[in-house]
Amino acid sequence: MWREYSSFVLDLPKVSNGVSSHLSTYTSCITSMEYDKYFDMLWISSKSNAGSNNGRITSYGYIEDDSAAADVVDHENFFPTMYRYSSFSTHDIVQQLLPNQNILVAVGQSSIGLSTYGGASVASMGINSCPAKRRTIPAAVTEERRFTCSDFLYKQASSRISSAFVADHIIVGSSDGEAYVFDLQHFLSPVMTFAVDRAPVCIQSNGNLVCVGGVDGCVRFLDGQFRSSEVTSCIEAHSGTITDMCMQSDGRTLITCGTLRLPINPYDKHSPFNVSTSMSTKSYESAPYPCIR
Amino acid sequence: MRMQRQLMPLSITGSGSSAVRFLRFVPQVVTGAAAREYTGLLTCSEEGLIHINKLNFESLERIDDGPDAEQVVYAPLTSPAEAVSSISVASSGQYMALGTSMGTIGQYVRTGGSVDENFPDVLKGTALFKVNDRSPNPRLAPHKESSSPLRSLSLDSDVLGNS
Repeated sequence: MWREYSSFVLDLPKVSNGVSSHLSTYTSCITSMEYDKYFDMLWISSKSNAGSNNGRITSYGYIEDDSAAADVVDHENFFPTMYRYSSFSTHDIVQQLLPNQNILVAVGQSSIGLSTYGGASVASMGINSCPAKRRTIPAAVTEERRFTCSDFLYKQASSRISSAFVADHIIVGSSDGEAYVFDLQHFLSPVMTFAVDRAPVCIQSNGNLVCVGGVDGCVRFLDGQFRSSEVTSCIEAHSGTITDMCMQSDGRTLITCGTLRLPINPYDKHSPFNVSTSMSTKSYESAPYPCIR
Repeated sequence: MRMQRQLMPLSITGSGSSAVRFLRFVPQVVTGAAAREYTGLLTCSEEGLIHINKLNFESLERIDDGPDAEQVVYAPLTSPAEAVSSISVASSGQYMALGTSMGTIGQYVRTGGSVDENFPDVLKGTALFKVNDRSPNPRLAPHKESSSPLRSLSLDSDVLGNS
């Protein structure tokens, strides 16, 4: 049974007048959270609701006091203590955090930053350094390019939840319908560019294939071994935008959730659409292929 | 390898889900390889309604065998304008955290029901909660190096010892 362990407001650093930021008139929005797979830590990225373009990354660690635990009778109500490990600002609003064993990858809207767990910058990559789309861009897509989502690429399959592997590549989607693959060791330029038609919303990878969920409700499958830059197959999963995807730990089952986008008059091709806020969940299973169970 | 077939749809009551996660879900009795026949599915809506369902690992059909079969958890939202903006589940399946648009962080922990060799039951007092799935012991945060000195001394400084 799940029960609430703690609930707190993100502890932001003091501002110049000595008052904590969360006690002032504006608050912060949590943009991304991620549990570390290598250390018992929780990573949190936030942005100010006052409209600032800067973000902040805060990490919390867990202390397990064995001597105190031995004296506790009611173990169900004994939890490790959390403490703030690091907190540093970023020049971009971070929308996804990917810790990778002592290196933190922060994917922002306009840049990707690699930093140590303490916050020292190691490398960064702006979206302007990535090759722009060469094909004709739809008229609706005239907004500024930005990164949308990302995921690590592992060499072995069935390693989504394992802490034994360290990712060596990262795939990042952009709003102009491209997915860039970067080598984390040589973080200079994309080593491969996948041409997905629509802007990716979420990306999931299991080592053998990469699933890219788009704003058009389609899930596109890419080759995780970088043998082809084309879309291998496509599933029309939802009529509206895909909101989230999740892959089972063995990499065979994929669950998507998205919105419904139905025409008001189904017999009229030019009918306006009604986007429903009620979302649906669908699951897919891949055909058997060699994987570690 | 690239063929995908759609499985039976899952009916989840409540408002629409904006986030979905699989949970590592180990039953009370079965351990080892057979324990992976079960899994958990977490769906979370922006309104703060979190559904946790126990599913069959292969067919993803719902399993109704006890109190862990289905649970609803509510996010700590304080106003109607506040929404769940992000959610994360630890690889061990014992921790879950969510963040809201107003900066609130709620953390949940799964108590009981875990007798995997990597996760002795917390009720037995042999071990506490863990974030990572493969670590037999909690891995504390890496050591933080002290900051570099603001002022450096030259080699011929009198402060340094002469040898």
